[in-house]
Amino acid sequence: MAAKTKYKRRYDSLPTVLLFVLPALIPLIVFWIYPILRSIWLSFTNWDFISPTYKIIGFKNYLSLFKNPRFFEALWHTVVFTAGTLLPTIVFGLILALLLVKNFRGSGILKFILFSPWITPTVAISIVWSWIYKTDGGIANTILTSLGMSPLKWIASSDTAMLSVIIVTIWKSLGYSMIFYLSALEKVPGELYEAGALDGAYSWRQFVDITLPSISPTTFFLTIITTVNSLQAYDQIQVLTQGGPAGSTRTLLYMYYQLGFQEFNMGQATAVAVIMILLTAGLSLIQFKASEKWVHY
Amino acid sequence: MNTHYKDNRSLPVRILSVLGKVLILGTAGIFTAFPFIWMIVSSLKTKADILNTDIFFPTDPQWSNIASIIFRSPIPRYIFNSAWVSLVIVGLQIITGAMLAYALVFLKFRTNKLLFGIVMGTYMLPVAATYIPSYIILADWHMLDSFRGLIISSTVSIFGIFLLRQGFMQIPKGLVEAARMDGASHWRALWEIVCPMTKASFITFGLMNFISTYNNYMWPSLITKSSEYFLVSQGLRAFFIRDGAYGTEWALVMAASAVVVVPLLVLFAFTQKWFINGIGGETGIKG
Amino acid sequence: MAEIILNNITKEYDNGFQAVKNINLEIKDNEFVILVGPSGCGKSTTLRMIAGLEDISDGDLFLDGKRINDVPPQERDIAMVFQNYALYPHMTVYQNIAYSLKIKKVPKDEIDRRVRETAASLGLTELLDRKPGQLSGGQKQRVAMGRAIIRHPKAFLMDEPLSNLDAKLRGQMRVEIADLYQRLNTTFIYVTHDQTEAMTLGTKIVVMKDGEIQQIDNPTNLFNYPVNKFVAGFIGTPTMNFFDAECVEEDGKLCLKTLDGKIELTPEKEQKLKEDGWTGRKVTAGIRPEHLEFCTEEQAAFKGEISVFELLGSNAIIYAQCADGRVVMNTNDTVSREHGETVFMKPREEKLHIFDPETERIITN
Repeated sequence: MAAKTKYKRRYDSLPTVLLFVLPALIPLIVFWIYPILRSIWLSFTNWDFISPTYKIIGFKNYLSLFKNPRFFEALWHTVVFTAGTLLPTIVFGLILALLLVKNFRGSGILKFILFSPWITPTVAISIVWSWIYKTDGGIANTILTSLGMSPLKWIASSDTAMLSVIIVTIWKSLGYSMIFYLSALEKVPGELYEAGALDGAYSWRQFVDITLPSISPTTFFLTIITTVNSLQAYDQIQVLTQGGPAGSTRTLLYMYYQLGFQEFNMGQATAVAVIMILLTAGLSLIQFKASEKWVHY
Repeated sequence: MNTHYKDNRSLPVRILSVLGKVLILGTAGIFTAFPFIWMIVSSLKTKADILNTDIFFPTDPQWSNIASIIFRSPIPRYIFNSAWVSLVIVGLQIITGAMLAYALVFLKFRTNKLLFGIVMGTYMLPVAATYIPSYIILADWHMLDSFRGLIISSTVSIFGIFLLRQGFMQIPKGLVEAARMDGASHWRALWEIVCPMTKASFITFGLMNFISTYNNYMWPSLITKSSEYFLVSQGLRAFFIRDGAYGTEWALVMAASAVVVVPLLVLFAFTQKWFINGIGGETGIKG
Repeated sequence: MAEIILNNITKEYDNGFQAVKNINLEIKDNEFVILVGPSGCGKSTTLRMIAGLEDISDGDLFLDGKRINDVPPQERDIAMVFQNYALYPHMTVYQNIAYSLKIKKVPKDEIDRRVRETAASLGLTELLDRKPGQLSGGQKQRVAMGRAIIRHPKAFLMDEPLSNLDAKLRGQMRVEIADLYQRLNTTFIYVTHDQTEAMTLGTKIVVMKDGEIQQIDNPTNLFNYPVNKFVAGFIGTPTMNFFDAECVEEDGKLCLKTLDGKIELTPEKEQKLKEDGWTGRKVTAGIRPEHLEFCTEEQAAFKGEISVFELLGSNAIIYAQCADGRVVMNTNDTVSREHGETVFMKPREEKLHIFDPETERIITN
């Protein structure tokens, strides 16, 4: 390849290219690329946002994070939260799509309902959920008691707070993965869903051998998107628990927020940001590598 | 292959399978719809009703709850803020995104692939990691706590660039070449030939980004502190934790949420196909 | 109304592949030039470089004496008709035709007048309000031409404009294009892979192969005086018969020995072969099917059994299996012949083409 050539390449004229590229590229550089680099730089300093000067302190921010149990707690919470939202979102999204791929009376309304959480503000809906989760007089506990189960403390207890936040997140993202699966399933050749997924005319083998492989690109895409979204979940945590109780819902992102915008410990906050970037890049890389084995384009 | 499977199972099995389907879809539907319904019925309750969870429907619908949100609260102002800031932002994002996508698909230049790599790379990054430096930049430019700062920091949508690029790649190159032969500059070719042909991508882009900007919470809440600049999410949360409302005025809080959410649901009802076709169909996800 | 000069034009792609190699071509004002050759010969690339849609790796392109290598397509004032028409699907026929004038900011009423005039001359008046999706292939083709004509451009470029049409329509549109050329009196550059199209339309035909120009000539000369074996084989249907032969001297006279017999030579050919020292050597000879005639067994250069006999009305095509391979004959003798019947054929000496078997260049026509 790339044989050396004696000829000059002519491209579209530089002013034209700049005209088309710069309006997006300048903001991209100013508010994306530069901030990332600046974050990396800041993570090696002890800047506190107020002081005009700061010192370069090497890896101290990282070292103190690695000595801080709060950090590992947050890392663990991030893993739990990501795993806890990823799997149900993908699995239930697929099940719903399988049941809805064939139109029937009312399927349009159902799709509308299932997708609607995605378009409503997370803050508004988290407020509603915090009312549902209320320990005394919340409807969630009323339902539990009427079903003969004992009431839970939901977001008020460190045992159940994470579960509560995960439920809200799944509730919100279920419709999104369902929509992706719906359009993927519609493109699967053959009317394999003629009789619907649940009535055995459509066999389990067909599902495993034909359907799953042909929708694997969608599964791959959703895995990445859901992972990235979960790593960045903030709105519902801020409204429902603010990372509490007792730090039980503090994820890396929330820790970053607290360090940066509440404690103004910019050095440590950006160190967390850099770790998040590495984590995202690492997870994407692993998923890309793994995808070569199970994604069939 | 268009095989029809004859359902030759016994009647009880068929009934069971239909029941199973109804059960799953019913549960999912109720689980999803319930918070909306609960929000709306709660917003109409009296203080006494709302503390008694045995009462599902309001005994005496308090329309005054809604009225007081609409006429005597800052919520409509937040909605207005969100709406116009989102319109401006989405407008800018469409222009910048369409131009970059056009460059990526139709222009020839040395760094074309590199540029696409950069855009692709930023798509995967956690946005939040940029917040501290972006905050500092806005502070340096004296744009904290202003609509200007909100708008100027959101003029590019990477998702949108992807969506449009995907749409543009469906257009035969010959059409743009024909336009060029007809005397059109690249600029005209973009807006007079390419844009009308990928209308669906543009509409999906506009709607999706309008919704997400409208709902955006973390970034606006970091850079705006005065309530006159609040977008709806931040405003709603301020209203929620404000003294007096939190814990006691649940009906009013629910009414405020309803006032925010219901217009979006109505908008969604009318534009559903653009979301559903656009998200699943045109984002370039094969399979 | 334009003179176009290609001076040592080369197109090299990033992977090092040369699609067009150092070609020189002079296109005079009002000329109808046809670039013809098999697919991949670089004819479309050449056209697209003239249009400005493809950058020129090396060489100079002149339009009316001005070097236009770096002039963007929209400023060259050249119109192009694309193979798949490239009509704007979201615009009506009217808007498609009017688009270039709208860009030039021509006043609305003048646009209207010119669109209607153009549409009338192409029989499109009834279709002006339709969208391209509602048109047949032939109608789309006319709209594409209308879009080019209305501009009164300096030159028309046509990239395989008829290849998406069925055979009947193709014949009809060919006549219309010829007619259009007569009316417009403008420079036409026309690309096709179909030599029949080239021969019937062009006044100047450029035969290309592997990015190089093989021969530039008018149809008659191309047919009668091909410069090499490729051109000889590419032009004309059915294709020219090629066979190996040996130049032998018998009784002081030079003739060609084939496997089945021998061929007499005209004095001019004989002299040329002698001068170039081919006596006693092998050459490649070629004869067009229409230049073969029946003869007696003694005179025959080819003896063979008929494998296929096609009667086309005024003439017949005979495929015969001979010692030299399959020989095709196109004859006016339309007497029906049986499969397996033995025929004796000889070329008309003056129509014989003789090529150098190594270089495949012509020795004598």
